[in-house]
Amino acid sequence: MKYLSKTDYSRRRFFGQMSCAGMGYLTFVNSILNLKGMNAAAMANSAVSGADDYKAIVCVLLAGGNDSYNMLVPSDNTHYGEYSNTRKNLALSQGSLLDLSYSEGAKTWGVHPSMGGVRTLFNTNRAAFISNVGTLLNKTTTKENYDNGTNLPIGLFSHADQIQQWQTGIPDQRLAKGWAGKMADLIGDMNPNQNISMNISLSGSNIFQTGDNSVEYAIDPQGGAVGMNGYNPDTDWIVDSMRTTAIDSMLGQYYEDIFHKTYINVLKNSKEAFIEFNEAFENAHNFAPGDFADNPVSEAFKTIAQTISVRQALGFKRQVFFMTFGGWDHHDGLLANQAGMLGALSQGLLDFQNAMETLNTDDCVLTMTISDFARTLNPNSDGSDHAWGGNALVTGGPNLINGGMIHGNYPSLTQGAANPLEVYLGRLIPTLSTDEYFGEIAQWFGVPPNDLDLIFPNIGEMYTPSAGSYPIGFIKN
Amino acid sequence: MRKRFLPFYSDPRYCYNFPLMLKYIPTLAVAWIVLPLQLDSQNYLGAGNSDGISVTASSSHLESIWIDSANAIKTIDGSGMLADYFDVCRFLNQATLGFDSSHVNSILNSGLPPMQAYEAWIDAQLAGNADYLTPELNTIFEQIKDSLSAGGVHDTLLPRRPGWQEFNYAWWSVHSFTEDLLRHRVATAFSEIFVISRFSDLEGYGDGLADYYDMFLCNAFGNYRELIDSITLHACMGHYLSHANNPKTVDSLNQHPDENYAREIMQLFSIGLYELNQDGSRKTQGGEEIPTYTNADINGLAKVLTGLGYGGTLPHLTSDPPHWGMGLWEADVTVPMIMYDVDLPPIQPWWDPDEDQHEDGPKTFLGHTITPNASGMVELNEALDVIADHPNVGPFISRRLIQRLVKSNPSPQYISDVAGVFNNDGTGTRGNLGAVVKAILLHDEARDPSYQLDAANSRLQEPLWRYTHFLRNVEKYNPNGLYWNNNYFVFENIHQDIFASPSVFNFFLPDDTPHGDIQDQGLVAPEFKLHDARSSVGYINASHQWTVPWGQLMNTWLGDYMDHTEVDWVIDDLLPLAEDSETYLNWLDKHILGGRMTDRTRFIIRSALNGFNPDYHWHNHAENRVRVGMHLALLSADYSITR
Repeated sequence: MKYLSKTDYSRRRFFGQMSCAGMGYLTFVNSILNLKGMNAAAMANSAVSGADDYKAIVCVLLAGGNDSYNMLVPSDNTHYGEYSNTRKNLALSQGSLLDLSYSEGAKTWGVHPSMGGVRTLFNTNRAAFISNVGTLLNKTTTKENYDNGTNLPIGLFSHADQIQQWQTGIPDQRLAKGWAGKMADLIGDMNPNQNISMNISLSGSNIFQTGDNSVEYAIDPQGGAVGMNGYNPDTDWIVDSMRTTAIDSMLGQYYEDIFHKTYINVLKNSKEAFIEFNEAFENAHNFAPGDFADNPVSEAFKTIAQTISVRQALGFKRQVFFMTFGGWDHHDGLLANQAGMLGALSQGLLDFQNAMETLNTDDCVLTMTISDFARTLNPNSDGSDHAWGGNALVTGGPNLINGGMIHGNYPSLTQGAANPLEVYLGRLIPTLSTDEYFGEIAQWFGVPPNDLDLIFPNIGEMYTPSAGSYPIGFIKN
Repeated sequence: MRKRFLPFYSDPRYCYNFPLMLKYIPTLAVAWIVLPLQLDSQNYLGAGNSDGISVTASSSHLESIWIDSANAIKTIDGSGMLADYFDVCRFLNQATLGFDSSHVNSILNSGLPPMQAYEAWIDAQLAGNADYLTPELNTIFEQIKDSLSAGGVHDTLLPRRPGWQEFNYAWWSVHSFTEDLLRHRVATAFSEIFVISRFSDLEGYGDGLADYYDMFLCNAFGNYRELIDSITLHACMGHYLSHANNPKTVDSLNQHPDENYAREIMQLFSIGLYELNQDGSRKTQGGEEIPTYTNADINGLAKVLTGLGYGGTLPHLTSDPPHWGMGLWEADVTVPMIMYDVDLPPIQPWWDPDEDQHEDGPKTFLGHTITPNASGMVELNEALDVIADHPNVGPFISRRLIQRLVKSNPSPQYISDVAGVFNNDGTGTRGNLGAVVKAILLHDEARDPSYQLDAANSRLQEPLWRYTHFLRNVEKYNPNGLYWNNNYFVFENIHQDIFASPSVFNFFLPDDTPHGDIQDQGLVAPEFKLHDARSSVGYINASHQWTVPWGQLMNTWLGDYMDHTEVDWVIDDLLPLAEDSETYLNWLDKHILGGRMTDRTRFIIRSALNGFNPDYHWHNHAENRVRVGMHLALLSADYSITR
C-alpha cells in the first residue's frame, strides 16, 4: 500500500510554492527534470497558467444511501418492464418518468418525476449520470468473489464503512482521511490564501476534507462563516473590550497539553478565518430572491455560490465545498420520502448551476454527488435495503462536462442467473469504481496523473492514469 | 511517568491527598528537578496568588465566604487548596451531568475513607428511585394545552401528543434539580450508544422519546439482556430502524425482510464488526482481523425480526385496535411492540387471521440456528440471547461506557477489567450494568489522581454536559417555578442535544479523532467532532448568551401563550465575591472548574476582571466581573478538558 510519504509531501508542497511564486520556475524545473512526476506536475499545476485560473468541486453527500435506481430509470418498454418486474411496488410508473434526450439504441431513460431541474440540466448538456459506480478493489469483481468473500471492500452494505470509503476512495481500509483533504495536502499551496482552508465544509467536520496536513473550514450553510458574538477589538464598550482581550489572550497562548492545544487551535483558526472570510463575504454577489429555492439544500448551494463569488478577494484558485444532505436511508416509505428529497436536490442543482452561469464560473465549477450505496432493487415491503453500485450525478457547464449523457454502463435490472452483476436481493456489483470517478475529477482539479496513486492507492488496479486522458470521460478537458 | 509516583500513591493514605501534593510541587524547587512534569497542564489553586495584591485584599471579606477567599497563609499551608474537594469533583464529573457543592460535601462529610465514600455514594445512587421523565412530561403537556386553550386555540387544534420540545421541557425540568444523578448520567450515555433521533418522524413523538429515555433509566443499573430486549421492542426504535411492520419474505412480490435493525443491533448495539479480546483489541487469524458477521448473518437475523408491529393505540386518535401495518401516528408508542404471528392461538381476539407476518422456516445467524418455534417472540428471544451472550459484548459496551463517563482512551487493562465485570459480576451474573458502571467509576484509571498528569487520559467534555454542569452550579430563577428549555438556540450553536444526532451513528464514533497532535499520538478524541470551526465558536456564543447579555439560561417557544417561561441567572450571591477578583476566581475554580483552573487561565481572567474598575461609576464592576468571568471560565480549555 502506498501512502503519502513525508518526502512526497515536501516535494508536492515545494512545487506548489514554486508555482505560485512563478519567479525562476523554469530554471528550477530544468535543473531537476530527472525527478519522477515533474513534467506532469508542471502541466497539471496550472497555477502557472494565469491569474484567472479557478477550479472548484462541490461534493454533495447523499447520506444514508440514495436509491439511485429510482433516480435514473429505464423508460423504454423492454427495460422498464425488467425494472418494474424486479422493483414491484417500489417501481415508479412508466408514464411519470421525465424523459431524457439520450438513448443507446432502443434503450431510453427518464429521471424521477420530481427531478424536473435535473432533466433541464441534462437535456441542455449541463448534467450527466455516472452509472453503476461503487466501491471496488479491482475491475474483475464477480459474483464468485462476493460468495467467497474475496477481494471485496470491507463492510459492504454497511453505512459507516461505505460512507467512509466514498470519502476516502480506499475501500479496503478504515481511514479517517479523505481524498479532498489529501488533494489539499498536495495542491493547497496553489491558493494565495493560506489562512483559510482550500476545503470549505457546510456540514462541519468530515472525513472527505481531512488530510494529513489540512482540515476543513466549517461555515454555516445559511449565511457563511460563524464568528463570536460581541468579539470586537475596536469596541469602546468595556464588557466587550475586556472579553475580547481575554479571548485573544487565551487563543494566543502556546499549549503544551495536546487536548488543550487542539481545543484552542480550532477556536483560534476559526476566529482568524472568520475575520478574513467575513470581510470578503460582505461583498458577495447579491442573488435575487427567486434565484434559490426556499429550502435548506438550495440555501446551502446559495452560500457556496456566494463564497465562489468572492474567490478572488479571498485569494482562492482551488476550492472544494462539501455538504451533507442526509435522510436517504429509506428502509420505509421510499416512494413518498424520496420524492421530496430528490426534488430538493434537483432544484438545488438547477439553482446552483444557474448561479454559476451568472457568475461566469459554470465551466470551472463541477458538482458531484456521492452516497453510501444504492439500495436493493427488491423491496422490503415499502422500502429498500443497503446495496452497492449505483448512479451518481455530475453537473457543470457545457464546456466543462460531457453532459446529456449516461457514462459507464447502466446495468441490467433483471435478477438471478440472467444477471451476472446481481448478487442478492437486487444488489449490483459496480462496473465503475470510485477510483475512476474520483480520479478523473482529481486529475482535472490539478493532481498530476502520476501522483493520483498517492491519494488512491488502488487506482492502478482500475486504469493507468495518464495526462490528457480520463478514465470515464464525463469531463471534457 | 506514572511509575515515578508509585511510592507515593501506592500508599492509600497518600492516594487521596495526591492532588494536594501535586499542587505543592511548583512551590518546591527541588521537586522540579526530581519530577520533570509537564506542569504546563497542571492546576494548583493558589499558585497564582503569590503576587499578594488581591490575596491580602480578600481577607477583608465576609466570614460566610471565607472558604472561597484566597489567603496567603492558606495558600501556603494547603488548607485553601481544597485537594480533597477537587478529588470529589473529579469523581462527580465522571458520574453526573452536573453537581453542586452539596453533592461534593455529602461525600466529603461521609466520614468514610475516599474509595469507600465513593462506593457508598454509588451504592446509594443505585438504590435510589429513578426520576422518570414521563410524569413530568404529562404534567407539562397538560399545562401547555391549558395555556393554549386559554389563549384561544380551539380544542380541535390542540396538539394531540407532545413533541420533541415538550420532551426537552421535561428533561431540563427534571434535570435542573434531580438527585438521581448517576442514573441520568448512564441514561444519556445509553442515548449515545443505542441511538434514536428526533431528526426523523420521532420529532412529533415526545411521549415516545420520554418513554425511550425512561427505559434507559429503568435499565441503567439492570441487566444488558433486558435492556437490549426493551430497546428491540420499543416502538421508537422500531420506527427509527424500521423493524416495525417488517414483513416476511414474499417471493411473488420480490419482498425480503428489512435488514436495517438486524445490522445495526450487531454493529452498534452489541458486538461490533470484529471479534474482540476481552481488552477490546481485535483478534487476528493469520494476521487478519476476524469479522464477527457476514451479510448472510444479517439476513438470517432479519428473518427473526419479521412480524413485529406496534402494540397499542391511543384511543383519542383511533378507535381501531392495534393491527399489523398501523401507522406510528395512531400508535401508543410507549407500549412495546408485539409479534403479529397467528401460528399461535390468538391472545387478542381482534387479530386478523391473515396477519401471520413472522417468517417461517430455518433462520441461522452467528453460527446459530434458531430452534423453530411457532411463536416468533420465542425465536426473537433466542436470537437476543445469542447476541447478548456473544463474548464481544463485554469489551464492546465497556469501552463505549468508559468513553462516555471517564476518558477517551482507556487502557486495554481498564477495558478488560470492566468487561470482566460485565461477563461476571462476581455472583455469576452476566450483563449487570450497575456493576459495570461501578467498576468503571471505581477503577484505578478513573480514581487514581496520578492519571491526571498525562494528557493521554483526557476527555473533551461534550458541549451539552458543559452546559448542564454550569446550570447545576448557578442560581436559576423563573417566577412560575418552570424550569423548561427547548434548548433550540443552544442546539443550533453546539449541534448537540438529547436524541438529536444526525444518524444512528451518534454525534461521533468511538474511534473518531481530530486532525493533528492527538491523532499523531495514536489517540482518539471523538468529542472533537462537536468542536469544528463552526460549533467551537457556537459554544462560545451559546455560553455568551447564558452569561453576558442578559444571563438567559433556558427558554421556550411558548411566549405567545404563557408568561415568563424563560429561566434567568440570578447573580446576587456572587456580586460580593466579585468585589475581589481573586475571591471570585477561587469561586469559579471551585464550583465551575473543579480545581482545573490553570495559572495562565487565572491570569487571563483576572486581567479581565480587574479591567472592571470599581473607581469608575459608569458601569457596574461587580456584575460585569461576575458575568464576564463566568463566560471566560466556561470557554477556557481548562473547563472543557477533563481527566
